[in-house]
Amino acid sequence: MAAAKSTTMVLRGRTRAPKRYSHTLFKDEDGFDCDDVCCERCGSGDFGSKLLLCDKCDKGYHLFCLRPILVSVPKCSWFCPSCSNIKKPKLFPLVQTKIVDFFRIQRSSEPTEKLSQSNIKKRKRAGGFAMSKRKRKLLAFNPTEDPQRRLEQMASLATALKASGTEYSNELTYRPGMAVRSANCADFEKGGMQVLPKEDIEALNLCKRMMEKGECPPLMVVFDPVEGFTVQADRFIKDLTIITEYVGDVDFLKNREHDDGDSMMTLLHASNPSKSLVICPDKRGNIARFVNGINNFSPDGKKKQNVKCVRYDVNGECRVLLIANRDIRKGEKLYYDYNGYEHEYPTEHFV
Amino acid sequence: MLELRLVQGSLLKKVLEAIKDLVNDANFDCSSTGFSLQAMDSSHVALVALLLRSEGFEHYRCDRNISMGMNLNNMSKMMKCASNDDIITIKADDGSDTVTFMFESPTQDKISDFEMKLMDIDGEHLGIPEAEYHAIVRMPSAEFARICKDLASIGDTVVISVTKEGVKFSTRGDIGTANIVLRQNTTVDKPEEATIIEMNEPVSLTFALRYMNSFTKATPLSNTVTISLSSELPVVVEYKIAEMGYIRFYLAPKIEEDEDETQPQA
Repeated sequence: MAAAKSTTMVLRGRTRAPKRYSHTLFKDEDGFDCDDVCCERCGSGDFGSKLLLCDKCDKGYHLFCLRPILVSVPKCSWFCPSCSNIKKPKLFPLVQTKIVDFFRIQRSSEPTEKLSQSNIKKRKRAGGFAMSKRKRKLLAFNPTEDPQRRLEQMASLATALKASGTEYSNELTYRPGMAVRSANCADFEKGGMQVLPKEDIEALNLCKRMMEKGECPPLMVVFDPVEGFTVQADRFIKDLTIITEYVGDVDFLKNREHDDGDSMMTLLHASNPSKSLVICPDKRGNIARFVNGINNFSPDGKKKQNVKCVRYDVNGECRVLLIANRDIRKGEKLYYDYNGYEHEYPTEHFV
Repeated sequence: MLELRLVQGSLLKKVLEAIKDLVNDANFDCSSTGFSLQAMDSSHVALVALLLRSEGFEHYRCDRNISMGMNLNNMSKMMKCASNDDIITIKADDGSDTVTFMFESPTQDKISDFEMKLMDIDGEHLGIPEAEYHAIVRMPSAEFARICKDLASIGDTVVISVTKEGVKFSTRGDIGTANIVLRQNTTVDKPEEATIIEMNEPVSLTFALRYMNSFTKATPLSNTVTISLSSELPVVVEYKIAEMGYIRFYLAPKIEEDEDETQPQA
């Protein structure tokens, strides 16, 4: 960066206030033109030393308001996004829409007779097709292709499970002394539970089959000194991908009220509280228990969220799925909102 | 009882060639209006709609509306056994689970008949609304096929934009980019070689080239192809079948990511 002149701005990589001088030396009343400059993104004139001025149009932008964020004032001349003509790469995130997104299924007006091997009347189709233009179905995850890498992913999970004294299980388990399978009935849910559509059940079954074959979801469990065990994506994960199911021992909420285990997940929020169920992955579980929660007291915390935790009625039973709620790049840590439904979990100290 | 006699049998041969790679099984619907088909490909990204009007057949008898489920690959194998100048007759009896294709040579000295088992296919018809398209391009079908083939060697998606300058087909890939611009051109010897662009509003849409290249298999059916575009709608690639009807391909566009409605969370 060129040396700051004694008066105001340096000509290269200009910021509102000179780099070395503190704010207080230049009062706002001194008629420097630059004092009126505010960030084009947030509108604030604060943090002058971090307010970069475009060398072409003189508009101001905070380093931290730019996308991508700039870490420091550039040494060479800098042009703002509008002046620099960098085309936003458009191709990669393009999504292929489906014909059914645009045309709805029509009830045929004239009855047509089918000539075929079985003249059995087809079962009545339920209603019309709900046409929501952008409704897309859930996707099964794409495991990493390299089997060696998959072994490393599974090893990282095995290490984390061992460290937390948990046995691996990829299904909800109903142990003696806890809830029985028949207690997991979606009909008990207060207000009703959303039903997982047939196509999405197929995606879920595909995920399970892949797991059985050793094709695990592309996730790595990493120990972070601050956050503890965390899960990060080991390859690009598309929006609406089923990452995993939240599994563990299923128990009644009332049995676990005094449990200070930190990975319990609501499974069934029943109208009758004694029927409410929770999933406890303390003894048995899978990678889902290591995924971190966000601090939903801070707006930054909410931005980190890239996974949503959703409960569905699958064939009459409640199941909890972790689903990507945006495209996740390789290396990104997974976060979801623990308090997505009830605000009972204290998350103020979360990252 | 169904009996349809088509003198220009080659049309049916070409139709099968055009759709058998896109759709595996489909229902052929016969009614008093004509012989039609509407089917999506397995990925539900493309839709093909075929109509052969009853007036185009030399003899058309269809007592009741019927739907015949056929494996298009198998039907195509049978169609390949017909010569290009053969007369093709499609027959089916009430309550029967087979369909018969009869091929007669023009001089009537060779008659072949092929019987095929029908299938039970769950087909839902989609309602395709009449729409005013933002832009309609009519061009020689061979030109369009060539453009799609050429661009497919560079990239896998094509951006079709229509502005007052003309229609532009662009793609990009690992080796580089490609742009092909066609301007309106009506001063040609034959009307079918003209490129006519009707633009109500400029439009630009992105599509997967591999579907476009399977649509162009219908090129033998017509000298010209009509491409209708509208933002927020699938593109319609239509090949008219002389004096009989049309074959229309609908392809859903590729769009940028949208904010989805959030579902209730656990």
